[in-house]
Amino acid sequence: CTGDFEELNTNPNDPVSVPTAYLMTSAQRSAIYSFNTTGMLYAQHWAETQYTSTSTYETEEASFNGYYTGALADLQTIINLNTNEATKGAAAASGSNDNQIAVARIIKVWLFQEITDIWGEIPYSEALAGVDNITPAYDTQESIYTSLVNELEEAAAQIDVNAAGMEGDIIYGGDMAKWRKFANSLRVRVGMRMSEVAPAVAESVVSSALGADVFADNSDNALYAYLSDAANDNPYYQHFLTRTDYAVSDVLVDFMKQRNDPRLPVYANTTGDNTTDEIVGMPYGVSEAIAGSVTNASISFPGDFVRSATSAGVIMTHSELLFLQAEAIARGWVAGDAAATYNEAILSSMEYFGVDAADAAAYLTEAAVVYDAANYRQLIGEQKWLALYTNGMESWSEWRRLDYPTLMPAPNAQEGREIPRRRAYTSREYNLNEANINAAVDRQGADVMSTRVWWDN
Amino acid sequence: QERAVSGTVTDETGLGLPGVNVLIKGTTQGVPTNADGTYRISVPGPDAVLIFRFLGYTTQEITVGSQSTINVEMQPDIADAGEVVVTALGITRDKRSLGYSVQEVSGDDVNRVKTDNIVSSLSGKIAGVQITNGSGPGSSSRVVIRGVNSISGNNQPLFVVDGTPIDNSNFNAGGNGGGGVDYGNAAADINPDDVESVTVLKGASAAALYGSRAANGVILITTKKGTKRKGIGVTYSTSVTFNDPLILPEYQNEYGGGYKQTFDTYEGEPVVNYAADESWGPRMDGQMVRQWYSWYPDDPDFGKLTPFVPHENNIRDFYETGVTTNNNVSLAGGNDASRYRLSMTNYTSTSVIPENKLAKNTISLNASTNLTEKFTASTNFSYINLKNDNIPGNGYGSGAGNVVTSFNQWFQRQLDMDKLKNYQTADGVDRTWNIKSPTDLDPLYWENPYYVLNNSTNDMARERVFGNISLRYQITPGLSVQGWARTDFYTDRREQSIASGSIPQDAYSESVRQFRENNYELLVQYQKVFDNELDLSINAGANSRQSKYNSNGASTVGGLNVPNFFNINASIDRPSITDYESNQEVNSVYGSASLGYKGTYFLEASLRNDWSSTLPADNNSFLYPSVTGSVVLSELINLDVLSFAKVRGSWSQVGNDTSPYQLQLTFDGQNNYGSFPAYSTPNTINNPNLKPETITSQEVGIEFSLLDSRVGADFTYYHVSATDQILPLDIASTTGYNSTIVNAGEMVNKGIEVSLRGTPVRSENGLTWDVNFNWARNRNEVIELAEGQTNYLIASWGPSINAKIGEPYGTFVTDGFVYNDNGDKVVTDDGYFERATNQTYGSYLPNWTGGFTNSFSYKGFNLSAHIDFQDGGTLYSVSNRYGTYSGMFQTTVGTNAKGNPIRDDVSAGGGVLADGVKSDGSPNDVYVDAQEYFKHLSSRREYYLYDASFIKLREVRLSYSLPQSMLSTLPLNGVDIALIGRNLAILHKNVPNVDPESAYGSGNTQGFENGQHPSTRSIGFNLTFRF
Repeated sequence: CTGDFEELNTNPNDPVSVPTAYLMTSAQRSAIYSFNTTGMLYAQHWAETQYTSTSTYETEEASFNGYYTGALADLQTIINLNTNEATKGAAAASGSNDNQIAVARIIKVWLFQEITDIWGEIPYSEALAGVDNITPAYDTQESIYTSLVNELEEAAAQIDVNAAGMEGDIIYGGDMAKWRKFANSLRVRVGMRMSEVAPAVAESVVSSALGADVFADNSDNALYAYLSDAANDNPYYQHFLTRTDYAVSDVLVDFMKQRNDPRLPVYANTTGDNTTDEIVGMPYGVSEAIAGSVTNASISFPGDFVRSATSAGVIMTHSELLFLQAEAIARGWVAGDAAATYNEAILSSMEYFGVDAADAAAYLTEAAVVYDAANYRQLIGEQKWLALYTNGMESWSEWRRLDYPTLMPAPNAQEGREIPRRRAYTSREYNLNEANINAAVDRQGADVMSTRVWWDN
Repeated sequence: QERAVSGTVTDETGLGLPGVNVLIKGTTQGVPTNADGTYRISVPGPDAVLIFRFLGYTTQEITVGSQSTINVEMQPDIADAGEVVVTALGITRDKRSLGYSVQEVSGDDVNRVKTDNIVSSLSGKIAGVQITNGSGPGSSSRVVIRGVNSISGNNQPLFVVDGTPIDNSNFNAGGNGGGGVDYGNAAADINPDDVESVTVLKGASAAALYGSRAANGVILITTKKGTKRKGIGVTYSTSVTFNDPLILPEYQNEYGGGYKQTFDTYEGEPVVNYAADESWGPRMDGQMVRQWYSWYPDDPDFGKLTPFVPHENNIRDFYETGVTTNNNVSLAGGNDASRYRLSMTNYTSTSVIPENKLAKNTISLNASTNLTEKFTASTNFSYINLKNDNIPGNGYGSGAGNVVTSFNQWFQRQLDMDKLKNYQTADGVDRTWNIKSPTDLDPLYWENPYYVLNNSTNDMARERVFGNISLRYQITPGLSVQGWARTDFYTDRREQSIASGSIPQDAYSESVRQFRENNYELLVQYQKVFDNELDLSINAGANSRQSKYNSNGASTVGGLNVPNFFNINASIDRPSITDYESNQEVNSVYGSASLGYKGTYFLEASLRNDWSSTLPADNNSFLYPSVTGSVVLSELINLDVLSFAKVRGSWSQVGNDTSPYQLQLTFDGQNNYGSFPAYSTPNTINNPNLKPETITSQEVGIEFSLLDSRVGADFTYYHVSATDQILPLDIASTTGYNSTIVNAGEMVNKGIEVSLRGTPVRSENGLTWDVNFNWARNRNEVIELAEGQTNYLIASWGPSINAKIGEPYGTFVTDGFVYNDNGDKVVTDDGYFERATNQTYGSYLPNWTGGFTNSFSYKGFNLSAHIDFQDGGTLYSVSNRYGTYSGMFQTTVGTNAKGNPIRDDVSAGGGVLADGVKSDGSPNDVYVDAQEYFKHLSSRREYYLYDASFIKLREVRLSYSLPQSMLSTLPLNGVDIALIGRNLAILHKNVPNVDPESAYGSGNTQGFENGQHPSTRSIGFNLTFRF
């Protein structure tokens, strides 16, 4: 046989190597496609208009496959290519090896926290090894959180703002100083999540991170910029082009109306496809027969601000950081004025959503909004829940941690279920990684929606 | 006085018959005839007697006398069951010498009732060959021979026309069960009018010489050829058939659209819930109400209230009568040196679904000539031009929605099709019943069905050439060498348009696929008869196969910049591009030797070695053998009643390679982000250490005929095991990957095939009654997957179909009922069935299949009727699931045990009592709301898994051949008139509302019915004139 014969099986369709910048672009794009909608529904920001299975908690299990085979696999490949002696030279064309590794690690932390917050125990330390370990062990959430904190500290330290920044970076355009701020701000989020189960650890992580360089204003926000073209536009925009599955929930609309929240017209359009002056929430969590009888014309769909083609995907905002800081002050972990920081957090959110400054200032005087140190959990919980609109995963997690605002389970919840505290693993995991998943379930408790994750008690 | 005698030996058609033994009686001297049937032999004198002997023909003895030229026409020997059949590599063999089962269908049988897919003409005609037909012109038919062998790969047999392998790809999108457009299987290009015979090589033993691709069997097609005759034989045949839906669901006609039984009001007037695509609404009792069309200013009923009444035949009225026409002209003839046949066919078919039309033209040529006494050149080629316009979508997969999915699953029963026929406004805006609201007339989930069919189209066109040229050289009478160059080449072009104003964003996409396979083949054949007792034949050959496939396509992104301007240049954003190429080469050498002793004992062995470009360089060569043998018992036992009897057995192995590019890791290209290119790691880890797959097959059989061959029977038992299968092994996604390519897994098929034939009546007055019956049972079991793997997911859409260890391939896993120890369904305290998740149910593979044909002939009349049947096989019917979920089907109305309508309020004595028991075992006594009941039921998908058994009256044909006496004054040699019918009736089935037969493309995703287009009944006539 000739040499040509063997050449014939060289794939002409896909390259065997690509610049790591290209993998970073792909990783960030798939990272932002998360469980956000489910979070928005569990946090009761949105309600389903006709097929109400998610908001009535029908399906316990959910798959984390997309996280691991999507962004995480790309990020791990970036780390490997920048670490291996044989490839790190070529990889440096997309930014300094250290800066690339740091960015990949920060995004991994963001995603791994999201995954463990949804499912609890997950494969972490042995994950992403390809055929070298096809049955990765599950790690406890506590050990994952410990590692996430370390990763963020090391990644922030690894950044060299004077070396070449990450190419192909949609989030910060290779601005390594901003990546460092994000790493530190994210460390505050990770740390605060442990407030109820490991307050001492939480205190030390949060206070240390707040002492570092964190978000200073809305220009530091970690946002994913969607583009106007159909391959890169906001998925909600795509969704609403052809479907009308999600409306703003009556829970959110009523809550905001009670407080005269000036963000309401930003969060929701008026009824009749934005032709009236009325904003009406869709009854949340009702049966499909009831939901089907509510006409689309009579309810409000999400506002254009959050579902236009180029509406940003929110990863973390300055407002969220300020709420975390206010809570840290209220808990006595760091010095400062909790009320002022709380007000700043609200104003930062107002600014982000384009609310007029005067309206925003007036809102701070609403009786149900004014800060009350004796009741900081509730006020911070409520206002943060409002500010986290469009960031569904974080809203649901923070509701689970703070138990505020007071949310009632879906009126037509299937099998009488409560608001989910986690999602169950899929049968695919039981088929393919049986021993490890069984060990996780033994440690964690029954694999159902009502089992709480480690930090949620 | 020694002298030479020469001549030509021909078969009953006048065609030279090679390989006939010409022997001098009482001596051991003899010669075989050469390629064109001529011979030359020296005889001792005029008393010499020549014996002409050829298996399958009556032996003739002729005294030489003074003749120097003796031409002989051999007559087929029916009593000897000595059929000649075409076997692998086109070698004609006496059927009695074969050690494996071969079944042949004549061209007449294939052609009896015209179909657009030659595969579907084989339904129920061959034991062990399961055909699953799709519906609609140009749709796929799936053929599986002796069960499925490959867990993840192709399970369709190899199609070979006159030695040329014919590609049978199926480029349908969406193999997950959710639907898509069925563009048909490519082997449907073969023109039935050109088919002389179809031989099915069922097992690896029969097909071993074709190598790896024949592991699923071979459908070997021999085309018609010219015969030696005076003048030109002209045949013209025409047929016209009319097609109507064979089965439509039983719809309820009591309640219209909506979710509750009262009308809402809008500005003081009662309105239908237009947004509801379900029929749980008010009774259709004639109440005056604002219907959807009353909001369109161009409608005569604009602003008016109209009665809310049923239109019982609204769906049936939607379907049209499809018309299929087939016209064929052929010219055939030949002389001593040459033969030719030229044929042209035009086929057109309109669907029962409006706007869909298929047109196919075929031109084929078959010619051979003797260049010299020893050199023969021959060729055959077909050119096919196929166009299928406006192919309707299936299920949920097509761009602009499948209208049938709406009718069966999401519709309002009161809708009037006549109102919908006015499908767009003067400005071209969709006039739909499913408007969002009185103030927003945009379609919500469903467009006007006519709007979709007229404006959003799926078109395809294919042009194809296949055929070969060949040279044969007869070195000595017993030794020949022949070479072929073969090609199969086609361009397949598709265009999909989604009209502006549709629910999905307007779009246009086109794709061009080019396929070319060239085969270069050399075959040396040697035949010798020793001592008139021992027949030896040896074949040795080599083959080089090169295949190349390109797929180039583009789709608009972000909509069209000029509405309804269907061109890639109209893309608002950068269009998405497909650029794919694959190359494969397989080189092979092979040989076979067969030995026959006294026409009684036969033994054959073959060996083949392949080198495939798709396997790792150090593992790309694989060798595999086969051995077969048979004994003709009727030569050993002399029983008057026994005309013929044979036992046979075989063992063989076939190696197999894989598809290209499975060895090396590559990155997947993604859409750019602005100017940033994006690539991602693949989801499957390739494997540089693959080795070939192996299929091992064993079979034994017995065949016999009795009573002067008026009764015949053939029994086969086989066992096929496919090991080392190359498949993607699912791995935990937490590795960063979903699967890795491995050599793993074993699947076994074992089965029994029976075919029986008889002639219960063969009377003096010319009445003959023939009966043919065949039956086959196949048992498939997944024995092993990769280490640690217990299940391989084939596809999933709601339920999943799986290869699960210990179960047959294609096993359904889904949610179902909870049963107590008595086998009763358990109901919860609130009156709904309890749900069990991830339960294993049956496989889509049938238990057994078969067919039964009766034909009667009397003085030029012939009546034949063909029934085929299937027992078992599981079908998941999405139409039944959603047809009940949405309150459309008849089963969602009626009265309960209290005698009240089930749709009445439970408080008013209505509701449904789930047929089950409470957890304590006492009968359920909690009535639940009918709508809630059926909606809950939809998530117990077990309820929508059905037994797909059927018995179908597949074909009936009544024909009459005009007697010669009537033709003598006309320039005609024959006229046949026939009435034909296909798919006339489903005599038995267990699935309500839909046809249990539902091919979902020709891939491994089967057993899903999802808004299936209705199967059609065809009735028409056929006229044939021979000049």
